[in-house]
Amino acid sequence: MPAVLQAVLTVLHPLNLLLISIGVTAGIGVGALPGLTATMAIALLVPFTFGMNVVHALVLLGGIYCGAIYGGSYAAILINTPGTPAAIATTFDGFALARKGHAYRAIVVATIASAIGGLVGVFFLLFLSPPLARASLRFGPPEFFWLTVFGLTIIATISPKSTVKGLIGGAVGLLIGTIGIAPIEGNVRFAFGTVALQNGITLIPALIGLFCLPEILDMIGSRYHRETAIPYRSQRHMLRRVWRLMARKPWLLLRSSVIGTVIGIVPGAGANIAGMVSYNEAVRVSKTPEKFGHGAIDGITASEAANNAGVAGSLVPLLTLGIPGAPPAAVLLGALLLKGMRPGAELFTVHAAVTYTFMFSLVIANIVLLPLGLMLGRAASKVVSGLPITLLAPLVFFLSVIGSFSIQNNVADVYVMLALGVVGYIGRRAGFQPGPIVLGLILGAMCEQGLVQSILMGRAAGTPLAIFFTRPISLVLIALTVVSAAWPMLARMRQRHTPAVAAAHTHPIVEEKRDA
Amino acid sequence: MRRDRVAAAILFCAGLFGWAEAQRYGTLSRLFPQVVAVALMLLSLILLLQSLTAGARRAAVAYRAQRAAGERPDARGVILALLVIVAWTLLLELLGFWTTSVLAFALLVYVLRAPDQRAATVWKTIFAGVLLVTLFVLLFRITLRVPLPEGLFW
Repeated sequence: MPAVLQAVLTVLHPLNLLLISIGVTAGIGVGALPGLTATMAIALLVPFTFGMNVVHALVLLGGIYCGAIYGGSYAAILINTPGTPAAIATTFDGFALARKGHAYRAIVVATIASAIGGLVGVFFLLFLSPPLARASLRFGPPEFFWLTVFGLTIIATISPKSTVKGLIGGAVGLLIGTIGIAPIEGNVRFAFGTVALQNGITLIPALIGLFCLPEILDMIGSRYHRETAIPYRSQRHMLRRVWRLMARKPWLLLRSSVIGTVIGIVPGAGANIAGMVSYNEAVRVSKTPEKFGHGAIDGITASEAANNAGVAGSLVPLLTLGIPGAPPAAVLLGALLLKGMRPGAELFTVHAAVTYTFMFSLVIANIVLLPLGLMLGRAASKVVSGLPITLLAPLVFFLSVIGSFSIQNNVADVYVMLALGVVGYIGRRAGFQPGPIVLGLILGAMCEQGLVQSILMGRAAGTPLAIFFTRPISLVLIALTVVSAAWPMLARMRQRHTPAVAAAHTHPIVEEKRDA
Repeated sequence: MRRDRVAAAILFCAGLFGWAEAQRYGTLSRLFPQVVAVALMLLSLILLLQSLTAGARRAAVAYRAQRAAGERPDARGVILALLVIVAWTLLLELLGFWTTSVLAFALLVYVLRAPDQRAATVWKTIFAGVLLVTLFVLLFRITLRVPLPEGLFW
């Protein structure tokens, strides 16, 4: 207990509060730029902590991590491009709301949800770390396989107009994900002798290409019809109005935060998947699922609460077992080791004061995120809304190029971004959305590895397929998968029996108005 | 709808190609891509069948009516912008990141200008763009230490 008390006092020191605020601000700045991820934000800023003492370094890096994951929502809302992969699900409703002139409203929702999600995640980190970390280690290849299959069922939710097109998009994403070296035998697949493709398709350039370039080309195509990409409507007392709306659904916030934390704890899953799964669950449970994808604040809440809760979640296995739950946590592991702190029991005994200071600094970071996020978000939404398309479209493309390049300092990534962007634009004109493709791309590698490793494990045990259906966690995930896959179909059948809703769904003009 | 039929045909061919190409790899390396390729082919066939039904034909008629009544995208502008964007990407290493970006940015602003827009407004937009590009290049090169391609110029 003295260590905890000491940690609380340390974190409240003005210098630490300042460092947390600087970290959150820097994180928001980097996360908001398409292509610059939370991992990159921490990696870029780690060298600045070399000369600092361990407490100052950790509180700064914790602030950067929280800020960067939240900052990804800005680009998702304002230009329909997730600033970080964790914000993919935020684009579904965030940009739709921005196009209606409510960009700042979407940012306020994202800010509140991120802060609350982050705080719930830290609660788990503080009080439930050891048992949760042990549970996460029970995930083997079959569980990872079923987790990804469960993740893929989200396609049915994010493609309400045509499930077949959504599934095709998912399959295309999975196929693109197989480009490069095979995870087990090491064959180079679908590279066609190109060195750049041997390492596979990097997620971020693919993400920028599929989300960003089609949006730029759409902006250009519509520039005679609208002056700016998104209009801006000022509303007074926005924070109070949004909070009243969100406070009516405390379960949505809590459920999304818990989903984010739990998925964040599973090593390899991370905030990217957490946001998607949480969004899917929000749609499944909602009484008005038809509003999702058209600017529903519940969609933004679900995605943002989950991805920021995933920050603390990813630190649970890191601090207790030394296994990073997500790539940014892996960079943090490096920073911990540099400071002579070895994750595990030692962190909670020898270095308990420092460890708890780090954990409490995340509480402060999530609290600080609220005023800082609202302030920066208001400025960002005003600036982007004020830019004419003739300036915004080239600027967004420039940021896409620089963001894709900086991932690996490789021009090949820019080519990948461009190629997938053109494919994404043509696909969009034909009714294929980028969400399912990206989902397939994200989950593909984990799905394949889980499948092949499980088969090898099964062969060794003499029962190649039984391994998929005999482990308790796998059975739970199979049940969740069946429910998640069947739910949208059941919901649609139920809607067809409700005359008013059925009419709204089948009448093309109503559908178009809802899109507008 | 016709575009669905075309998409289904292209995607079926992509699936078939993926399946055939994967035949060359080892058993464990080809398992996953082939399963996905078969799924893609099956889904493409379902899309094709859906596009041939009477419901799809009605939807196509409604869609065409909607398009005729609504906004039409500026196809010429999109193609020109795409050409500039492709040139921008291909010349990055040759000319240098800053030089290519400034040139392409200015060209894109010029291509996207409205026919009745005043020259002064276009120049102002180009100037703002060049300033922003320069600021971002400096931020990435100096603060974030990203080695952007220098090429012939900078």
